[in-house]
Amino acid sequence: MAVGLNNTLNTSRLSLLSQQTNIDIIGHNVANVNTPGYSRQVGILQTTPPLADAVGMRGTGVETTRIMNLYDRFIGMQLNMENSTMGMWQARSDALADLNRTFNEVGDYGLLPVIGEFWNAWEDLANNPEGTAQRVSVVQNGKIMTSSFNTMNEDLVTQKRILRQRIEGGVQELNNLTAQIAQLNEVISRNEQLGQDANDLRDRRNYLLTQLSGMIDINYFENEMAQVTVLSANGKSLVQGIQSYDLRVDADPLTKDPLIVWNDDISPMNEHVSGGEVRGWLDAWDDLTTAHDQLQELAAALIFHVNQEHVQGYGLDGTTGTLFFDHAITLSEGANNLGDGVLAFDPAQGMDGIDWATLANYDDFEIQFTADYGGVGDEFRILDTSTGEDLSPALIDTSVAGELAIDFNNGYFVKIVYDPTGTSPRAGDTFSLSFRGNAARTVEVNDVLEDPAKIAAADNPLEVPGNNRVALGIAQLQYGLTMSSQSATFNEFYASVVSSVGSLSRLASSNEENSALVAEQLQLKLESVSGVSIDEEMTNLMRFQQAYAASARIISKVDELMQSILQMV
Amino acid sequence: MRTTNSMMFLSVQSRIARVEEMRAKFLDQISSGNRIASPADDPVGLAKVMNYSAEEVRISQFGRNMIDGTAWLTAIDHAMSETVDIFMRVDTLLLQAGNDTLNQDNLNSLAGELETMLESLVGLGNTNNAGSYLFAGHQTRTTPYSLLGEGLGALYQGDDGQRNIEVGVNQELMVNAVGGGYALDGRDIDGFFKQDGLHDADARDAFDLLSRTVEELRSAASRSYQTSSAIDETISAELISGQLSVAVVAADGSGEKVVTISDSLPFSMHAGGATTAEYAANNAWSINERLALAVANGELEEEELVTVSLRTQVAGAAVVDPGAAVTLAAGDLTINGTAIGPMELQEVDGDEVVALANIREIASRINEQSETTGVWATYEGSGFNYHLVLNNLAAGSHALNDPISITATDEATSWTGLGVASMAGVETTVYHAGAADPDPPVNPEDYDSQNAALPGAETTTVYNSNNGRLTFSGGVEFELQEHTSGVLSSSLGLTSNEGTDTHQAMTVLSARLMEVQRYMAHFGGQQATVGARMNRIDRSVQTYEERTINLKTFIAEIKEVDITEAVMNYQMAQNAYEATLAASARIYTTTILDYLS
Repeated sequence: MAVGLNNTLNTSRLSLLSQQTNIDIIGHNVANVNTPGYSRQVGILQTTPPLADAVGMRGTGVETTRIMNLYDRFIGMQLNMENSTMGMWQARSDALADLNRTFNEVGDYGLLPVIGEFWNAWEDLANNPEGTAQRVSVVQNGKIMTSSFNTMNEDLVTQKRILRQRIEGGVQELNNLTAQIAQLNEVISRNEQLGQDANDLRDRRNYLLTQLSGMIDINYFENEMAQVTVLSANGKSLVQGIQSYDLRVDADPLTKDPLIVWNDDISPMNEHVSGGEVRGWLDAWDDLTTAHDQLQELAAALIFHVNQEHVQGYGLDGTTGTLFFDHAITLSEGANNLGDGVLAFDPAQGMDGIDWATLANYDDFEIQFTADYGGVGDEFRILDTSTGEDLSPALIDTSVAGELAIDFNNGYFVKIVYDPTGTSPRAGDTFSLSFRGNAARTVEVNDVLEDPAKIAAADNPLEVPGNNRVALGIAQLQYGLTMSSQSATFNEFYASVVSSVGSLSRLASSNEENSALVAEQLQLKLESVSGVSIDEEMTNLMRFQQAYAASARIISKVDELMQSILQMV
Repeated sequence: MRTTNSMMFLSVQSRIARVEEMRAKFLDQISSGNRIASPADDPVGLAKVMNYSAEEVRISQFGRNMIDGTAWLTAIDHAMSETVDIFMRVDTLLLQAGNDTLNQDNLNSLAGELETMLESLVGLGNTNNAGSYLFAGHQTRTTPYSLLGEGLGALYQGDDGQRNIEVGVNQELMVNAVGGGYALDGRDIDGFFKQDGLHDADARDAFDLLSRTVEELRSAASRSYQTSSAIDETISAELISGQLSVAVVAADGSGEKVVTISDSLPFSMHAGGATTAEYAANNAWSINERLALAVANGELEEEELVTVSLRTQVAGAAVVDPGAAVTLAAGDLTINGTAIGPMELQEVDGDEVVALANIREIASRINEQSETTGVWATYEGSGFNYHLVLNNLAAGSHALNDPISITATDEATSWTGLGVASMAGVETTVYHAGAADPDPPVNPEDYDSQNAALPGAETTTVYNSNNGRLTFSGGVEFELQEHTSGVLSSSLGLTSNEGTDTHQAMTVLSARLMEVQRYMAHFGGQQATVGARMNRIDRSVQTYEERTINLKTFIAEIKEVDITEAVMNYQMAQNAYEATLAASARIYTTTILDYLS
């Protein structure tokens, strides 16, 4: 077959088309230079099949066979893993920054100076036990201290509430992401089965995977249908083909801790989550809980020790047995109790069920029924939940129908009231008494002390007003090794709480910084492969432009050749 | 490596962000002056700062405590100096009074001056600081001292409470002066105020001393007074149902002598000795005569001096159930025929405080009736042994030298109820008002006959004649210190001073002079203690000032920023910031587009 001018014309036409496609790709690249997750595309040029003739194999031109995007999926995976770590530390460090502000003792307005002033007020009273001004000052400083506790408690509760909302919002967002990935799976798979590279859609999916990995640690792989399967750390699939599975947030019935639950599962997967913002939030939740518990413990210890001293003292008017602090000791029944028993203090004993003078500690207790209650009173045991110690045997009184009165033999007198015709406590029923549970929230100075004469500074009614032993005793509580198993003073305990909050926050933010740096490096590495360089694109543009121009010139030359031949006719 | 536009943007962005963050941090450090802005900045350092500042706050409180303490101690020191001054003046006056050439008028004017001093002394005892009495123990709002009648000293209404302030961690310092302090109502504090406890004539406290001296100067009773200067020998004796045997044992245990007094004594009893009970009640006379007889019989040496103290307690009464309350009806307790009561006494079950409250209750009831009974009651005691002390007030309808009679009809119940379970009854101590005989005989021997002429005592009666003191011709003295109704069944504590060599006759005045000097020494010592406490405060203040400076330095070192360093850091961050900006601006100004037409 002879080679004609038409062939040359055709070759140039193909060239024009290919250069134009590539210029188009460059236009797309430049347009997406700032699109997150976009990876640059290149047209793959290939010679068209040659024609064999007498001279040999004659080229027929060029064509763009496919448009390829440049993405290194291994760096992508690495980046996503690092993203999980960064997300985790970032979330935790954000939450801890708030906690840090609550426990900020750097200025002059922390809790510590307030407690210090409280002790000082007692010292002033000890110096002048007759003085009304000093008494009023003790009450005022007590109120400032209790309201500081109330405020800090409120602060922590609010932070927890916000954190829960964040977790819920985060999980919602996570579900959106998995849903979008599943949707993209479907589109990509459909397109690529038609033989086209769905580059932009893949970019979009990769970008969503990066975002998802920032929220929770995931594993993913692509199947032969070009669909990614996304698995959570415990192997539950979040995306499977074109189907996505939601997570949800439940609350622990007892502790109200947030629980992350997969799809229709019952048991939570909290401990399996090891990265991403979700992990960070869960960790921050634990940090908040620890700090809150410690605040409660400090409040409870102050209430307990001050009250125990004060209750034995005598006021100017001879009153004795007055509590300095009031707070709610919480009584509650187990959430899954089978019986209808209700726990209450026995007001006939002690002061409304509590004998402060003999109260042994400020621990929390739980009454646990090991067998159905049959009126005997040996069906339960009392557990000190703060130490794990078994407190039994207690003294019981079953003489009133429908009432099981229990003397803990350590200062508490309670009774379980049940309907004698109904269900008495059953095996497995629990009742708990918590001294600390609401200490920081409910602590306040006893209203009775609005009359300052009732503040007990003396330890002997006959030595009023000059006796200052109780005031001194209370002031000296500040030196007592009352906290952390008799190894720390109130101050030292609180300082260690603040210090550990600070350390956690520092750890979280420095880890966040580190993983951000690593992630940035990986991001750069990925960018180095996938990113669009305008200079490069422009250079390429010129390249293709010149090729285009040259091909056009060839066409015009071929045209001239054609004209020459035509003129011959 | 291939570099793309986004890469440059990304890295420039993150670098600018980091540099800006640093810059903001240093700026914050410079403007706040603190290196630490939140616990996270330096958790360990902040914990240290917290502990240091807590200590600083505490120390400043100690400083405030010590200012209060200094106010108390200064006032006490001042009162004590003045007290010593007063006693120095008293000392001078008594030396003058000892001059035999002074007549009664002179003595009276000295007595007048002493009386003024007594009043000043009471004023000093009532010194107060910011509304609190310094020498009242815990009863800081009650005027502690009030003068009783002439010769009766002062009544103390405080207690022995110590007021402590805190001057260091768990270190307390006493800032009032009770308990070894100023002067209290006859209580045995530091073994001082009771003197040797032998002679009722010895003053119980500084007020009593001055009070008695005034009276003695006025009555000129000051000229005859005998005391023993040394006690070498002890006589113990038993008196059961009127039988008295006296054993005289020398200090070295040798030379035991036994003198027995019994119903069948060969000498006559004084004043109505028809029954053994009456013998017992009048034992002073009996002993007196018996001892005289003993001398006559050669059982005792002539001129041998024997001092006898007779102590009794209420006869062993049945113990009321511990914890039972006791009600005294209107007639249950009478003093000099006046009913004291009715009163409800609280339960006593090993409770010191309640026992004391009961004693106070009785004392206050007696005092309410003092106009009629002529008896003034106070209380004393330490630990569980509270004593009700009755003073003959010699006021109202009750005349000097009249007997005080105490009758408890339901003795076992009432007295036992006052005390504590371990005591059979409450010891009743009767101090005698130190009345002098209006017309004292010149010869000591004459006292005997005079006393002998006194009406016989009844079992429930205590006489206050001549301080309860009898002087025997042989130089034998008796002292009837305590007496209550009932059969004498307890042992007599008798002491003797053998030999004329050690016996020294003294005038009342010289004895008082000695007492004054002892009081001066005592107050000097007390003042020194107070001074030592003030010194301790001064030293502590100094130590704490230094410690505060140290603490502030420690805190500053941890918490505060080194401004120079921070400014340098800031400058560096600022430079880096500007450089980054300049460099990136340069990068972006040039692209290939600039060169394409």
